[in-house]
Amino acid sequence: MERREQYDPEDIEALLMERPFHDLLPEERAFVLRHLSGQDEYESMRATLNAMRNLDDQRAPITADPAVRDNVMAAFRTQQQPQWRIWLNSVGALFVPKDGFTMWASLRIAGAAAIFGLGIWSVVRFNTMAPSELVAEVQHLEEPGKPPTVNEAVATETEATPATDALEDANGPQVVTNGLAATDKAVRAEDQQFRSSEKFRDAAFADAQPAPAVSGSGSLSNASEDVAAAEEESDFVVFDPRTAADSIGVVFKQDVEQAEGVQAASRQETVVREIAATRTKENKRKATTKTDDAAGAAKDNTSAMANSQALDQRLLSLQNAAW
Amino acid sequence: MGLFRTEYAALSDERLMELIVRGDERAFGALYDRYHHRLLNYFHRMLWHDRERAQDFLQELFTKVARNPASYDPARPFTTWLFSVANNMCKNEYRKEEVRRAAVPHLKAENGIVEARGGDGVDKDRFNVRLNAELDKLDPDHKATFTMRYHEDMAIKEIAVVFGISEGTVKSRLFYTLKKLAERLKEFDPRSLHEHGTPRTVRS
Repeated sequence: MERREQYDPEDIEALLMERPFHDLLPEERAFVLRHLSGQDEYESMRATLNAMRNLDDQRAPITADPAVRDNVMAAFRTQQQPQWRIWLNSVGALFVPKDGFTMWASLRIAGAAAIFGLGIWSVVRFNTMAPSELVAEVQHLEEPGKPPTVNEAVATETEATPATDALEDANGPQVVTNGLAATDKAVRAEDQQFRSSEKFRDAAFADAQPAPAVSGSGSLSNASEDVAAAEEESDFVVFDPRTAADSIGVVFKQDVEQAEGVQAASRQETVVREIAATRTKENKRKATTKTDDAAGAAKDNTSAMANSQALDQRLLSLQNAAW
Repeated sequence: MGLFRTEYAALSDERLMELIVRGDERAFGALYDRYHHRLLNYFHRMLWHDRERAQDFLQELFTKVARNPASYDPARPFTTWLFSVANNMCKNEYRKEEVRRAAVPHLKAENGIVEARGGDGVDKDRFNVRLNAELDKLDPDHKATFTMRYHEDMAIKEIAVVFGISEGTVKSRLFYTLKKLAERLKEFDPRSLHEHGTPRTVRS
């Protein structure tokens, strides 16, 4: 291969930068002269090239403003922010309706959904709330020991005797709202303490004893007086749910049970009253006719007294069951 | 992140780009510090020596890198990729400038021809102005090739990668560009300019 074939026209650059025309080898000169007009052009190109590069060396390099770097770094930081936020914003923007009517409709639907959700949350929250956090609650109480029904009471009586007056006002509340939790606890503790005391047990035991046989007419007033006397003799006062509720504002399960028992007794009392009223009318009618003989009256008195004692015992047992 | 501080200055461009893709801000700062001077001067020469515009382009270029660092292909040399982006930006600006000058004809007079003085001395500054004016008249690709080769000292191979052309085409462009400039600047007698200067060595 000939040496001149090692050069291409563009390779003149290497020759221009390295050697002047007179230092070129004959083959190199031949190669240069094939592409250039002569030595002058070669030297002119070489001079231009070198002059240009010398100018670059002498020229002071320009420097960038520091603000450029700050801006570029700020752009990089902005780009490195979490992309999911932008994505979420974009998703949200997709769901935003364009026209006003649709947007208002969407807002209304969203508001209704929010209110519905809030309601659901409130219900769930209320149901899961501890009992002590409740302001008021409805307590589902167990049925107390069933007192004898009115039919049973009436069936055992041939002639009814009115019940005690102490049970006349026994219309306790069926559902009672209690007060604050703290008050509830304090009252419960106080009540337990009272119930556990010896006096309470004695009084309850005394109350549970059958009433002494009433000598006398055995009428309803006498029976009431006997009960009142029994109460006065003992320190224990018959529990009155209505007054208890008024005084402390709290009725416990036992109280409600008692109230239900007393309520049953009240119903029984009503029936007894009706029977007593009938009996009173009958007695008046007998008194006006004055046809009763003494033996019959004594028999009636004995029977009435026995019935009164039985009824008193039943009422007292009802009271005990209620307590 | 390791226990020891990373010496970003010692890392290669490609490694820095990997860190940038992962969001390493310091790597991005190191890359900017490494290339901003060269790119600023490149834009300055390519964009009619307009410093403000060159700074704007520099900022725009690195903003592009910051926003989409994954667009860099690690298989390619970073320098050529970066200069190819810069070159494309300049070509777009040339197109815009042509439209502007077509719309406002008197802007053509901005790059007026600087006449050479008579006499012995050759004004280097005037030669510089004239050289820049002649470079601006060249085709953008030729001008960019010439600037990369003789101002940025890029190798023929790198320039070929930037433009996506063969090395022979790059050499041919350089030869004819230099020949054209020498013909146009002949009146300045450049030989007097470099007779005391020492020619630099250029990477092949």
